[in-house]
Amino acid sequence: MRKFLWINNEKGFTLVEVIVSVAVLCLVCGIILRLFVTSDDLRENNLDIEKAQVTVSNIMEQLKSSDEPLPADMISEPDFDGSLTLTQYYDSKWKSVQSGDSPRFVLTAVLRPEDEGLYTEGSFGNSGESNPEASMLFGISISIRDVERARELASIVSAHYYRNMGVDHD
Amino acid sequence: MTEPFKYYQRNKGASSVLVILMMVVLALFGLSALTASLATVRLTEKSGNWAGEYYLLEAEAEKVVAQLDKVLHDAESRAVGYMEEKAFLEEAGTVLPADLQKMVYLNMTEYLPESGRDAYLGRVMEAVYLTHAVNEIEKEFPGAELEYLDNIYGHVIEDEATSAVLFGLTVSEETDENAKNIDLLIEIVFPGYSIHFAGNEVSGTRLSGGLRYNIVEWREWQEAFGYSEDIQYADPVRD
Repeated sequence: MRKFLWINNEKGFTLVEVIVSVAVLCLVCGIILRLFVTSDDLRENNLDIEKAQVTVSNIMEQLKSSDEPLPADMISEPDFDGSLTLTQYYDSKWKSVQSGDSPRFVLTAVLRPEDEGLYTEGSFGNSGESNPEASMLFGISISIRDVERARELASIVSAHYYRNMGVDHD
Repeated sequence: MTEPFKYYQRNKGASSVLVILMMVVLALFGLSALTASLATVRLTEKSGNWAGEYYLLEAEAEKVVAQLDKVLHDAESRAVGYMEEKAFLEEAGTVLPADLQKMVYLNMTEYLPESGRDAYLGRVMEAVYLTHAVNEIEKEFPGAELEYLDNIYGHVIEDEATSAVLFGLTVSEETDENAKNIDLLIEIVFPGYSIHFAGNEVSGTRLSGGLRYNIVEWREWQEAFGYSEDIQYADPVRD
């Protein structure tokens, strides 16, 4: 019976014991909570990366499906090498915002001419009229940066051959 | 007999057991959540890489289309040159086969009425264009397959439908396993010119929106994955 005496001990715990046990409990709780916090951070981060990947793909498909390298309302001034740059800004919920609205994500699409392109006059002799045609291969690179965390979330590189630029299609 | 088991009925220490159990359960949940998040991160990485490779392959296919159009643009320029030089009024030439060139010459100088010459010249120009195009494609794209839907001179010899040539090429990613490919099938067509020949002067205007080619097929496919029976405990790429 002597060995069960500690159960009947009515003395309680000393302050040191309580402090140590609470400290151990806090440490274990901290580690466990850290797991959840890390997991949630990863999940949120991953959501942003997924959204960025979808956004760069969407913009790439938009650029490839148009007849002109960039729609007139999106176009920037061409660089010295003829590159066209498109910049779009998004807030933390991926809503499109203006550059002055402290955006969280910045998308940059650069279309760079890969060669001198082709030009067809569209007439010969004294025909009096012509239907000129121009075509050019553009290299396209699109990336999205997280301004807050100063890192790139997604980027893709491709090319598109724009044919019959500046020609009305029937 | 009940004396030794008395301690079972006491509640002292039960809270500790509950706290430990709760900690273990929470730790298990936390680890599960972390594992799931890490798996999603790896999946996202893979899908990002896949999209990147896919767009790079598409870029290669676009470059092939651009190169093909360059060849066709050159063929068109040479067909325009043939017309400007009025080579159809010469009995012998270097572009068309000798018999055909002679036939064109005879048709233009003797047999055809003036009213039929403009339309005929359009077909001759198309034949010159396709001749140059086919010759250059065979040099520039050794791996390409050309399929002739009709005799490219058929509509010059007889009044047949417009001829066309199909260009087929597979663009592949430079990798050994599970390579991604794009099958291209492009119809080479003549953009069309409205030609006017009168008083020994020839002129022509390109038809609006005329194209030198049409993309008939753009099929992306990947070689099938093979399954290995070996158990892989770690990802060798990541490790």
